[in-house]
Amino acid sequence: MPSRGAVGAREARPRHMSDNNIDEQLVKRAQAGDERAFELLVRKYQYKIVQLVGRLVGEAEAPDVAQETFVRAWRALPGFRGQSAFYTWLYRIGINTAKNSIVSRGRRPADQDIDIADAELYGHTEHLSDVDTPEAQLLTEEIKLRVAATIAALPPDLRKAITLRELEGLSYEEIAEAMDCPIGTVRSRIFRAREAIDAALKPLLE
Amino acid sequence: MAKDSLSALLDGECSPGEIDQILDGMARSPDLGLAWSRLCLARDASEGVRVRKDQPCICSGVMAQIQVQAQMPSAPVTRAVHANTAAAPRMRRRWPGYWKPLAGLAAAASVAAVAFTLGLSGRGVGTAGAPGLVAPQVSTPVSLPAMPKRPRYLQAVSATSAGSQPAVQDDELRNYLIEHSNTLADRGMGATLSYARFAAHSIGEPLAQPAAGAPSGGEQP
Repeated sequence: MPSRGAVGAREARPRHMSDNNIDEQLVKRAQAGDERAFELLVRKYQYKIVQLVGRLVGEAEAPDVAQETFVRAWRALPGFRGQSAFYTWLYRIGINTAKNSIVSRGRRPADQDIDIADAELYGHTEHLSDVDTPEAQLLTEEIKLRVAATIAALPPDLRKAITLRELEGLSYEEIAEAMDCPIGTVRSRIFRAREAIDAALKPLLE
Repeated sequence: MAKDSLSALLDGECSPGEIDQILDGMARSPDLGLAWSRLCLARDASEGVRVRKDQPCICSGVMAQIQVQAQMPSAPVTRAVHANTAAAPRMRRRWPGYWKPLAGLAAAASVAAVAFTLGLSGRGVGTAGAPGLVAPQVSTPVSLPAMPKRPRYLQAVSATSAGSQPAVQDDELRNYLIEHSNTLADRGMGATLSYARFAAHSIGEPLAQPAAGAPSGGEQP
């Protein structure tokens, strides 16, 4: 199970470096008009954005506001110059969209101010998790447990590869060196480990 | 192979060529998009992002809206928004350009009005010549002798420097104030009020003339 400390260690490493590179490439394609590239970005960040705006507008309205966030992001994408990470930029749009939604409904915005820097530091907003519903907390904990149990049950080579990647944050090249195998093998092992995790999570999420 | 690439994409270990393959594969097979969503969801959940059991996928709604907007005649709105965003700094930069002529005009008008007023005052015409325009300006300082401190202060300045030449001091002071006011007017609106105040106070009232019975050393407020 990815313990709290492990997650913290993972966030301490420059994990977002490679993420940002991929985002950058997808954003460039989307800016050139490739909607499929933007779809990948939507699928990648939709859960984080739903959670983010859900804390401001409530769970019921969160999907609509998140959807509006992505549509606004698409419209504004030509103006995105990559001065910040894509998610940081998206995070800001999400907060503004949520606040606009609150104002348009004549409700007072949340007292809790959200720092944009959190998007860079944490990638999500755990500091706001105290407003989560018990059901969501329970499900998240269950997912963490299921992931940990699945990883523990993997064959040793898969377990080592996915652990070095997900918990230690090593690149494929570093993992290949550590495991003394080709990068392609690392890639395949990580993929197979993820397939096992996906299979374990499906019943929880469906 | 394609799902293998998705896993690599999640780790940022994809080449641009592979991204193209993934995008092409997504166009052919919607399952690939769902697989990507699940991969992202699993990672988010393991990182602590709260997930609901009936978590809706908003992707289809987003993409549908985008396509509707792209097909609408107002599709260039995307570019228009961008263009406006890009033009905003230029608009902001233009503002000082708009203000400069206005400030210049206002300063010139105020200087002209005061010069006209001074001219009337110098010729001894007084307020009778232009009752509509000048009378209100003159009437204010006429009532000012009730405030003796300002003349006394000015008197003290003149007494220490020239002593027996109050008229010369008066002219010098007036010239200095006019010059100062013009300098400020060149920089913006700041000098208009101060100059008008000076002019209003100076009309009909000698600045450095000693008040009868006033102590020569000046009076501290």
